This record gives sequence, C-alpha cells and structure tokens, in this order.
Amino acid sequence: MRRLIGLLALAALLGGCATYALTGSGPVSAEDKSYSVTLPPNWVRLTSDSKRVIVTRDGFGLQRIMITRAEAKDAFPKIKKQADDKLLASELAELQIAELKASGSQLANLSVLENVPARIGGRVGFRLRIRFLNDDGLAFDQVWCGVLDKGHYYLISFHAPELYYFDKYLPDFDRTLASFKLS
Amino acid sequence: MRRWAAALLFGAAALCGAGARAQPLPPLAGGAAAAPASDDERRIWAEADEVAAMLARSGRVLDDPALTAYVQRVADRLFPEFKGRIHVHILKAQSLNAFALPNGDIYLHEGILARFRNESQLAALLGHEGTHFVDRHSFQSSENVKSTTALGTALAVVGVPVVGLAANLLVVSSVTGYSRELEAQADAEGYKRLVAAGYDPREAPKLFKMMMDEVKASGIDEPFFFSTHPALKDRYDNYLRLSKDAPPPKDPAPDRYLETFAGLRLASLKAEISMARCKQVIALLKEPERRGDYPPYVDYYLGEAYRQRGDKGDAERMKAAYRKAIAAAPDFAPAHRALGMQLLKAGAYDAAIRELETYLSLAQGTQDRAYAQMYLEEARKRKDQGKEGK
Repeated sequence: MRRLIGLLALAALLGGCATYALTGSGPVSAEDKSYSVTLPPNWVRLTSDSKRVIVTRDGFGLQRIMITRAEAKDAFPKIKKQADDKLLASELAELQIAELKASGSQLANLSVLENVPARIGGRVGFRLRIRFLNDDGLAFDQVWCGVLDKGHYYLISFHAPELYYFDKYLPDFDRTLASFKLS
Repeated sequence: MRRWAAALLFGAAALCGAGARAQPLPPLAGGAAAAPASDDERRIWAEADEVAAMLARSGRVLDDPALTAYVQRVADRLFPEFKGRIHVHILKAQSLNAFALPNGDIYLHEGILARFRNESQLAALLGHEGTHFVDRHSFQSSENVKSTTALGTALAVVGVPVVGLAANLLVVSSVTGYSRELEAQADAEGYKRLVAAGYDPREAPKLFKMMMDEVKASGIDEPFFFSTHPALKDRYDNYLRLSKDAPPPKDPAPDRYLETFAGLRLASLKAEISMARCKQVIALLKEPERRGDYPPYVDYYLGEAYRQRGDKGDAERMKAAYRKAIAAAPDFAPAHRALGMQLLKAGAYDAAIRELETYLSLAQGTQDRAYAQMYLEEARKRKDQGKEGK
C-alpha cells in the first residue's frame, strides 16, 4: 500500500513537471517571435520547455524534431567556442560536430554521413547527418541543420533510430525544415 | 540516467561499507587458468565481463586485427604465464588513458598509443596495467574505496565521461587511479616484467616525461589517470629511479612500432582536430622529434589547430602552416581548401580562386566538395564585383 502511494506521488510529481499538447496544422512562432515553423500535425509537443521546440509522434526516443536558438556567444558550450558572422558554413558545421562529440561518450565516435551547405530560413548554413551506436549497439541517425542570424545560432535537428524510424519520418522533418522562416 | 543511478547506488553502498579495511591480497595464482578466489571477487569479475561486453557491442573497440594482435603480442611477452587470460583491446578514444579490468581485459586508448615512439614504451604501460590485474588491485581498491573516498568518488562518476558506465571498478581503475602505493607497486612489478622481457627500460621514464610535458603544455583538463600531471610525475619519478643504472638490452629485437601504428597515429590526429582539441595538437606538433612521426603534410593539421585556437597571431601562423604543408606535399588537397577558405575570408579572391580550384581538381568525390564549390563561386562573384581586398 505504501509502495502504491509512493508511485502515485511520483506520477503526480512527474506529471506536474512536463506538459504536452498536440500540434496543429498551421505555423507556430517562437516565444520571442524570432522564427516561425510549421510542425508535423498531430505530433506531441513538449510545451513545458519554452526555450526549445521539441515534438515527437511516438516517443522522444523513437523520433523527435527539435529547434533551439542560442546567443552566438553560447553556441558551443561543451567545447567553449563561440559562433560569429566571420565563420563560413563549413566552419560552423565543424564546430557543431566537435560540440556533439564532446556531449557524451556515445557520440564521441560518431560518423559523419553527410555534411553539405544548406539554405535554412533563407540563409546559408549547413546540414549534417551523423550516426552513432548506443551502449547496446543500436544505431541512431541524426540530422543537424544550423545557421547564424543576427547574433543567434539556430539549430533544427531530427533524431531517430536508424532502423525503420529514421527513413520513415525524415520527410516530416524535411517539411518542417522547409517551413522554417527567420523573422 | 544509468550512470546517475549506478553512481547513487554505488555512493549508498560505499557509505554503508564505511569502516571496512582493505587487506593486502596475494597475486593471482594459476596463470592463464587464474580465477576469482571469493564470491565478492567473482562478482567484480562478472561486472568486468559486462563492461567488456558493452564496450564491444557499442562499437568503441577498434576493429583492427593487426594492431590488436601487435599489442596482444607485447602483453603476452610481458606476462607469458597469463597468455590467454590477459586480453588487450584498443578503445576509439583520444584521451591519454589506459585501464585494466579485474577480469584481465586491458584497454588502451588510441590517444595514448598515438604518443608512443617505440615498443618499449608500449611495454612499459602494459607492464604497469597488467600488474594491476595480476596483483588484483581492482578488488583490493573496491574494498578500500568503501572505507575512504566513497561519496566523493561516487559523485565524480556523474560528471565523468568515462566510457558510458559507472561501474565502480571503472571508477577505481580508469578515473581516479589506484592508491599511490598500489600505483607504485604497479610501476615496480611492471618494471621487472619490462626488463625480463628484454625491452629497453630506459624508455619508460621518457614516455612519462613526454606525456607529462604535453599535459602541462596543452592544459589538458581530464579526469583520466594518465591525463593528470601528478600521476604522470609519480610515474616519471618512479621509472627514472628504477632505470637509473639500467643498461640497454643486449640483443634488442627490431622495433616496428612507429611504422605499424602510423595509420592510427594520423587517424588520432584527425580525430583530435574534429573534437577541436587544438591545444593538444599544437603541444604535440611543436615537438620536432614527434613531427617526424607524421606524414610530410602534417603542418596542415597544425594550421587547423591554430585556426581553431584563434589566439593573437594564430591567423598568420595558420596560413604559414598551410603553405608549408603545400610546399611539402603539393598534391595534398585539404591544405589547398583550407588556405583557399582563409584567403576568401581575407578578401584575396584571386589567390582564393587558385587554391579552391586546385582543391577541386585534386579532391574527387570528397564529402566537402559542395562547400568548396560554393566558396569558389562566392570568390568569383566578389572578384567580378570588384571587391578585391588584400
């Protein structure tokens, strides 16, 4: 009985920590109006995190699209590097790879499958596709698209297990990316 | 999450065990057939087996049979009676580190293998790590940790990017190292093995001096045992004392370490650049003796490190390094791309166009051609617009 009460208390506590909402079909704006984007309809958005946009369809470990915005000086906290307008797109991508490698032991040996220039929100940035294995040997693929604009670093990313989920939901990510507009 | 949970469990277990005292243990008996002597030790070996299995399936162990066979041969020469029990692996990690699990699996990071200059130096490290296994230091230390640095050690795990696990044996052997006494014992016993196997014992202090200098020069800030200045200073002092009057080996075997590990050394350098570990690369390549261990275009990587560091004067050092690499190896494409990019940024469009065109003609099918093509078009456009700068 005591265990049941404990579990209920924990569920209530966790329930209060995160809130979710279904995504609609129209564009949504960032809290500070710096960008707008159209998210995949009927996905679940984590609404308790106001600094980032994070959506998933089946669970954050199975597929997720994430959009972040950081001041250029805080762009790469793990490697303690800044972004600035003098950086070329490939240099920005190089810093993003270093930042990812520094962010965890699983990512330290990531493979870069694609690294190309890309137009993001109308500006020139980069598009990376990486792969890494988790502790159980399961391959995960991620796409990271980054761009600098008016002193801020924008990252739009897609994360999914390589098996089944990545290819299936990549078109949803690409539609989201195409809809991304800087204000 | 698993790391947090394990760390907290370990911390709790450690606190519960406060007051226990470590007992000196005899070395493992039985050579290749050595087995744990108690249920506690059996549990630690089983835990080590789990760590080894995780490392293997997570793709962090280098799959290079020739290099693995090389390091295994050296270990077998040092510990002939444990042949088949001690297994040496190479980890795809650039830190200066090596560690021995209590089940006889020894892991050498690529980063440390890239620093050795001969087989005797590799043997010195393997002698040290193998002694940790043979003398059961993990088991002794797991007892010891319970009674001393328990909570601090447990908390250290949480923020330490070891190899993805928080097993207490890894904490002990890989992160904090062992007690000073046990490390000194590993030095002394490892040294005896080094001499008995016919390696040059005078190379051991050279190895630790070289690493100590690099750690100091590059300001490495890592929790790994061989990445810390005090640990390296102790190794250096111990091996210097042990080898003080040591003669060279009478009939040394041909040493093929440098040529055998040339590919790993270059791959490690590239990996360091990809991780923006520019200070380490600069510290490594400013040593003339060690520069000679790399291909003629090694200055390209030095240029990349200067670009990443971005200190005052680095822009000129970077361009000079790229030009030096091109002079030494005109067909080495990446140096042309790197120089072309910097010339574009500096507004020297004619020169940028030349370098980027050269790159594109040399580098067929490379991943970053799209960037070079874009920069080339940008340089041409700006030149046509009459924006030539310096």
